[in-house]
Amino acid sequence: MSKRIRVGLLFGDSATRDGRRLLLDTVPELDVVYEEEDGLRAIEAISDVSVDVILVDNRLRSISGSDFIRKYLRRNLTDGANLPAFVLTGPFSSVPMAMEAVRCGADDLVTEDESAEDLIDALVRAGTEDKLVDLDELRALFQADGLVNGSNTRWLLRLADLSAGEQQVLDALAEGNEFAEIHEATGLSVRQVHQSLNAIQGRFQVATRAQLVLCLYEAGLIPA
Amino acid sequence: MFQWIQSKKWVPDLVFGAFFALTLGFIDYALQGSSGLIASLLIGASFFFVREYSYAAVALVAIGSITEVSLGLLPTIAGFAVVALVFASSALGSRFWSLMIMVSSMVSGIVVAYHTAFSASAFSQISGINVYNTDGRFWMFMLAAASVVGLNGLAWLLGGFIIEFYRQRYTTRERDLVQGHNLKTMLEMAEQNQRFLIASDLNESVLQRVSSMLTLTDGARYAARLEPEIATRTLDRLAEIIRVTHGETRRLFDMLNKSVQVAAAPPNINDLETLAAQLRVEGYPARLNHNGTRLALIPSAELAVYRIVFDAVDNVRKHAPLGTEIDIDFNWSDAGMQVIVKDNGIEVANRGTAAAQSAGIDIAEAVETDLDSLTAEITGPGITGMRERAQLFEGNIEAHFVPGVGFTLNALFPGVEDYLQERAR
Repeated sequence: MSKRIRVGLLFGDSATRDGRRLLLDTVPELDVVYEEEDGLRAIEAISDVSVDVILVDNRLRSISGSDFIRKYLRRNLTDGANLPAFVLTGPFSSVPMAMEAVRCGADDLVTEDESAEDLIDALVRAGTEDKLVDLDELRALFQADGLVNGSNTRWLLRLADLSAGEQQVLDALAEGNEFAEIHEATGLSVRQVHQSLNAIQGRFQVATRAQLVLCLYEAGLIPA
Repeated sequence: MFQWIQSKKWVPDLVFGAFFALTLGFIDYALQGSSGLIASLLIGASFFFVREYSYAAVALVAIGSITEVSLGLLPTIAGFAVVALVFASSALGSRFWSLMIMVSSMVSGIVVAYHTAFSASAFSQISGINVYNTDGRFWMFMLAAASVVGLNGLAWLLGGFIIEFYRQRYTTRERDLVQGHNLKTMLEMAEQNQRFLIASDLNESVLQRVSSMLTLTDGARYAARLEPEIATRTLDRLAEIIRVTHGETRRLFDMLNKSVQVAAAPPNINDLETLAAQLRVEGYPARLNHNGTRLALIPSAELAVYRIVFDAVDNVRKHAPLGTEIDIDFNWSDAGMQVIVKDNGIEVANRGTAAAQSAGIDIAEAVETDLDSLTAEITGPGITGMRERAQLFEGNIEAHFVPGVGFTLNALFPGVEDYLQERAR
């Protein structure tokens, strides 16, 4: 039997949270272990609870869901820290909402206009898989948001003294390779690619691959 | 000139000129016979041109004075009345031409005074004082000349003062009116914004309730497969949430509906008075006229007409120079209603470039432009919007440039009687 994913539910509205718990309780892989309605309280409490994924509604008490994720990561993001994944949810999907999800450090965004199956898939994926992202999808999102490629070249300052592996990985990304194709393009092992990506991510002090892509896009290291 | 004749703006001038010419002519005829009548008619006729063709007034004053001197007449009553002409030109005409008329009147008066004082046929005595000797004639001339200069100068200043005083009072009143209207609109906007904020909060609350219903339904759909009892419990809960949501929706509805009831009524044709006042304050002399009996239309029709006129004058504001005159004429008849909005923007702009034209600008090009405007079809989103508004009430719009004058918009509503307020009731 595979490992059950421990899920936290952060919803400002109790009825909405109850609805989500009813749903998640039916999924064998998921185990709801924590519930909270207040974002600030959750920041304090969640470190004491072992959770793999937190489903965060953007309408929390005290602060918004995206601010909760941002504050939590700012406080807890250190090298090697084992942090939970965050799936942000809200009423409607939109480009600004999707960008906010990327910027705050959410691993995924599933809004209420998507199906319950989509939500379950997102939670299971966030709790288990290596967090790879679709570069084309992100590029399309950045363009829809009007983000200019190379608009913040100050990011480049953080890329001084790259290791050979990190440089190879960056070069592969600059050539337009997807994450899954990097090991083939560079000749590095999947594990080495993963480690290099984590190292670059650490230089930018960001939590997710989507945030990493955003930084590289703003730095002009990923083609538009 | 042709435009001027067509506009019938000369009618009050004709009455004014005819009154002076006939009244003064009659008096001078009675005093000095037919020669006096000729000089009087010439000077009196100058009143006819004082406003629109001031140079003709200057010429007539000069010709009248020369006639007076050459016929050896004593000073005519019309000659004295030229002071009134100076007053009228200062009040109604342009500054330059009123100055010209004043100078012309002064010169003519001095010439007549000289002729009267030094002519052998002139008086020999004034109030028993012998004026035959040279000193007497000289001092009589000096006195008359000083009177001519003083009276004309005084008339010119007085005319300018009165018209300025009138303008100031009128402008202040209109500015107050527009300011009051703007304040009222700002207050209504502020109230409206508050209502939007409340409605936005209510909307958010409703949305949250809908989220609850959605997630509960999703959850129950899955959970009921494992435990059917959950479905019943969830339905109870859903009914409760729906009831709350229904209440919130009702509050939102009331708030939005209230804003419709309480907010400013949509503008109607009567509000065009304020619009005209606003235009005048901004420096566009605007006139609003209703010919025939003004009928009350249903609010949507009144709003449509208001918007058509508003868009038309807004177009003038955007493209025509300050000082452009705007006429908004409503013609109400059994055949329907017609609105004509016309301006003289091109004429005003041309006046501004008159100096450049006299310095050698190609007249043929100007004529060509005028001819083009006769046949040019005016298109664009603005005119399309106006036309669509008019068509809602069986109306039609026609717009064209009048060569050398400006833009004219003609809105015709032949079926207006179907949209009368009485009928709607």
